[in-house]
Amino acid sequence: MLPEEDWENRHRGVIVLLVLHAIAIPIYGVIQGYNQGHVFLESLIIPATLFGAIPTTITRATRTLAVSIGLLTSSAILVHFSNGLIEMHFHFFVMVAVVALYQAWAPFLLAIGYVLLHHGVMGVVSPESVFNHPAAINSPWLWAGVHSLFIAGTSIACLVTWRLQEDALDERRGAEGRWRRESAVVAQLNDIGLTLNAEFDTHEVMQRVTDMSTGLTEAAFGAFFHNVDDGARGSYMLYTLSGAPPEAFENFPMPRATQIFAPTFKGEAPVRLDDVRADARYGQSAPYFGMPPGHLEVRSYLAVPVTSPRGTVLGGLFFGHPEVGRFSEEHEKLAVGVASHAAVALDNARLHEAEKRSLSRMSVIADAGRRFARSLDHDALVTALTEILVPEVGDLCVVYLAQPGEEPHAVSMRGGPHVPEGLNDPANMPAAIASTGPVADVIRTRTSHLVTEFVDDGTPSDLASGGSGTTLTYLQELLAPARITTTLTFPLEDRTGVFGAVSLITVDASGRHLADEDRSLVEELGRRAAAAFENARLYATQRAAALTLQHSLLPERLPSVSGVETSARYIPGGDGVEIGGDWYDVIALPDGGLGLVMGDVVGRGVEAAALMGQLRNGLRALALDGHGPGEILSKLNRLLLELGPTDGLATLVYGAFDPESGTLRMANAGHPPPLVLGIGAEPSFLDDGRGVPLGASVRATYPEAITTIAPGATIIFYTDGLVEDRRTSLDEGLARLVEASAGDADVDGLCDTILDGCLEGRSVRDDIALLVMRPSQLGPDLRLRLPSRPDVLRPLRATLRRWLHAAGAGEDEAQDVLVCVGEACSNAIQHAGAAGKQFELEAHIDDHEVRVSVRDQGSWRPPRKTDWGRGLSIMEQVMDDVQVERTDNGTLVSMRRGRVVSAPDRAVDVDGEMDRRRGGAPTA
Amino acid sequence: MTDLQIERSTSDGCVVVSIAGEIDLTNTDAFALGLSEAAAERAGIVALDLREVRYLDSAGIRVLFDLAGSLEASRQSLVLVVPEGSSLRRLFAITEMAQVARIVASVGEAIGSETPN
Repeated sequence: MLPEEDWENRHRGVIVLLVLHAIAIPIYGVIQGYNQGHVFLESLIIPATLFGAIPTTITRATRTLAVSIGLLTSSAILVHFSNGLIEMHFHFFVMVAVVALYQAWAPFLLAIGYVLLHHGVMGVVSPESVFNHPAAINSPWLWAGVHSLFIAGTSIACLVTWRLQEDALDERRGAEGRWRRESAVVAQLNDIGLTLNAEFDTHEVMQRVTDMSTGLTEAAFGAFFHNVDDGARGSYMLYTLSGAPPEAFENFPMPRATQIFAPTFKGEAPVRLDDVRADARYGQSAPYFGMPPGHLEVRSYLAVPVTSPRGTVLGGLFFGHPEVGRFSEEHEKLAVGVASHAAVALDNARLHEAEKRSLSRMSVIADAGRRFARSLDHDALVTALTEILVPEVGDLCVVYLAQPGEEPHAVSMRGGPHVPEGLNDPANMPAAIASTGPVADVIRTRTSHLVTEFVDDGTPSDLASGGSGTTLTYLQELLAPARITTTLTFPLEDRTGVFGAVSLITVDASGRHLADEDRSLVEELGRRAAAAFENARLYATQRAAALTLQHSLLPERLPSVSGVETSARYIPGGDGVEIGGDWYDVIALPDGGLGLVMGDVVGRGVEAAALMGQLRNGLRALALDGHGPGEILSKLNRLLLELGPTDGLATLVYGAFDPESGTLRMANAGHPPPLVLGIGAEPSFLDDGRGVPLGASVRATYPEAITTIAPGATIIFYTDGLVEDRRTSLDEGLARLVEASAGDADVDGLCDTILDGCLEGRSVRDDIALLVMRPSQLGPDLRLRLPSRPDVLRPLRATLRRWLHAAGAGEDEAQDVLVCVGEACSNAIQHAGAAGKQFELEAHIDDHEVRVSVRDQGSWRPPRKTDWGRGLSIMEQVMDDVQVERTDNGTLVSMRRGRVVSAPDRAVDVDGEMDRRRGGAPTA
Repeated sequence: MTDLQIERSTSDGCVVVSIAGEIDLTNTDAFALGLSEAAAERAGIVALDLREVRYLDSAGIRVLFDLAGSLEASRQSLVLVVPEGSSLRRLFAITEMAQVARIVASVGEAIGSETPN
């Protein structure tokens, strides 16, 4: 059967030929001398057949026959017009050859029948119009038969030729089609190869391979099972699916090398089955004996092994279809082709990943080095370790520490993006859980431990190292629905032994696995971490020692001197390694004054703190011995130089303040100048009395400066850490100090505002010491709250003297009041001398009288010996009025005396006055 | 931590104890100890030079009374040197110190080399 297009082309040509005959034959008839009308009528038959040959509404077979009749009729008329000329019969054979173009049987049969009938019938009716020799004319049917036999012969010859050509053509066409298809496959596979080569992620390679091969094989679904087991890592199976949702397979175990799967997993040969259920190998293995319940329907089955260029079986590609007989040899070839590309791509991906892991291991180690170097604090180190490991190396990390003789316990946990949120606190982990299992093993054996196979509940399949109730089963519960795939636990060990372990875990969701090659990485991390922990411990010990030393040398509390407010702050250097040698001190001097010390030993660490201690004690001894500031600094300078090879250098400012007169004697050995906030005056730095730092020169002398710190004014001592650092110049720092000192806060508040203002926006690198002193402003009313300790008595008397003098009291009257108030306060201290108790003194003075009341918090107890009686008697005789009230909450002594503010003309007649008070009792 | 200073000198059966500073609860014991050491010398006269004492409270007065008592038992006599018209003089008047000790204005007077004026 000719293709439609071919038939139409040939048919058109044949019609053209027929039309030419319809024109040429009448002309020939006329030339032969036939009557024109006859010729026309006879020739009309030829174009008439065109009506059956041209219209496309008529079937191909009818049109073929119509045109064939037209051509044969042309031959018959040609023979007629030539009067039966035998040579004109050749025209019939030509026409038979022409209709052979249609490559159909019907025109040939028509031609044979036409010639037989035409020659027979016409040979009888009008022999001259058909034949021109006597034998034929005499027996027309015989010759009609002879002619039609030749026609039949021609037809057979044409048919044979046509058939042979047809076969050759078919063969060529088939070859061409096969070639086309195969080049298409090659092109497709080539594309696949190119795509895969550009992909280095194993999972992605597998997914693409599965998608492509499932499409090419026209399978309902396909799967790629990749057995990752090349010796260096543990053995596990990855798989990808195409044409089926992941849920379709998630509940089934991984395929094993059963009879049906063995040829694939052993890399023997592809398996292609029209109906897998009909195969003898199907359904022979436990536990399912066939497909597990719920498995997608598989009848047509195709499986090809994926074998690496080195001959290792990497896995298999499996295709299924619920209908039988769906996979052809072609499909198989395609699958095999894809499988070989897949093997190369997987190999590349593996190499690439190995390369990547090696690079990332190096960067992890480098990062760890940097992180550890920055962390000198134990907790910060633990945090740094977990942050280095997760998410870079694993999905979850737990740090366990074990003190000698104690069970290991988890101290830190960190989860990456593939584990449930909130896994950052090991606080709920049962205490003893790490005492067995991998963590305990690692601590005991001091070697890292890798687990790569787990049974479903998270128990390592290697039961010797697992068992129920270990950290891993606990963690598996926490991690659900993620499943632990591998864990690597490694020890933290320093020179003294193993002090902890770190468990690193991967889960299925991340697709990551820990392998033997990771051991070297984590063990290196463990060593570095351990060294860093040891450094941190040493650092903490040193720092603690220095801090303890320093704090032991700073006053626990400032001595209370009534009428003078003091406050101080000390801030150890921020993240510095060592402690500085800053110190301050406030000394209650024997003369009732107050020694104010601010010093800074050059250098840091325990040595500086120790030197500071020596200077502090030396200074105290000298100050209590009654030496003045200039002398003290000179002696300390010699002390420092004599202390020998320490090369010690210190700056120091020392001031002795006399609360009674408000004068400050001060000497300064190279220390930043104190700041004075006067009342009604601009803040000013006390630049006088300067000398070189202590320890700088044997010949150094220290001049004294004397200044007045009026009641209400303030003097601020500080060390350079407050006003100077790498980014702040001294001038800026001093300006900032002046600015920060503004305001009218009390001394405590002032310390805080100064620190806030000076340290704003910078971290404290250097030590800072700050000491603020302010003499109280004394008005007619005095109100003091003092600790119940005998040593407050002397400064209290100094304050009272100052207060009495300020109010204009006479010398003797002041002394009398002092004695009486002293008695009341001594009594308060003796009654309420318990630690932490206080007593209150309230006093008022004016031109007419002085009133003082002393209230203690003690419970009344009988006066010791006879002092109270004598004291009370003194008060009663010296004062105009004395009241003693005893309550459950304490004792209140109130006293009053008139006329203490002496009139200018008032003569002091002591004995006479006393006599008058005592009713004239005689004196010695 | 006290500025109490006690110095002692002996001559001709007479011990002179010079005391300077303030005497209150913080140093009563040191004061008493210093005085008992002086008493232990068994001199006939124990003179306390109190002119440099700036403050003395009832506890200190009690120490003086105790001293006077023990000296009387050992037949020694106590002399207190305080300036005329001083605060201490007034205090001694109030506490009737004169009943147990002789109160004079100068050391010479105390050891008998001078007569009271």
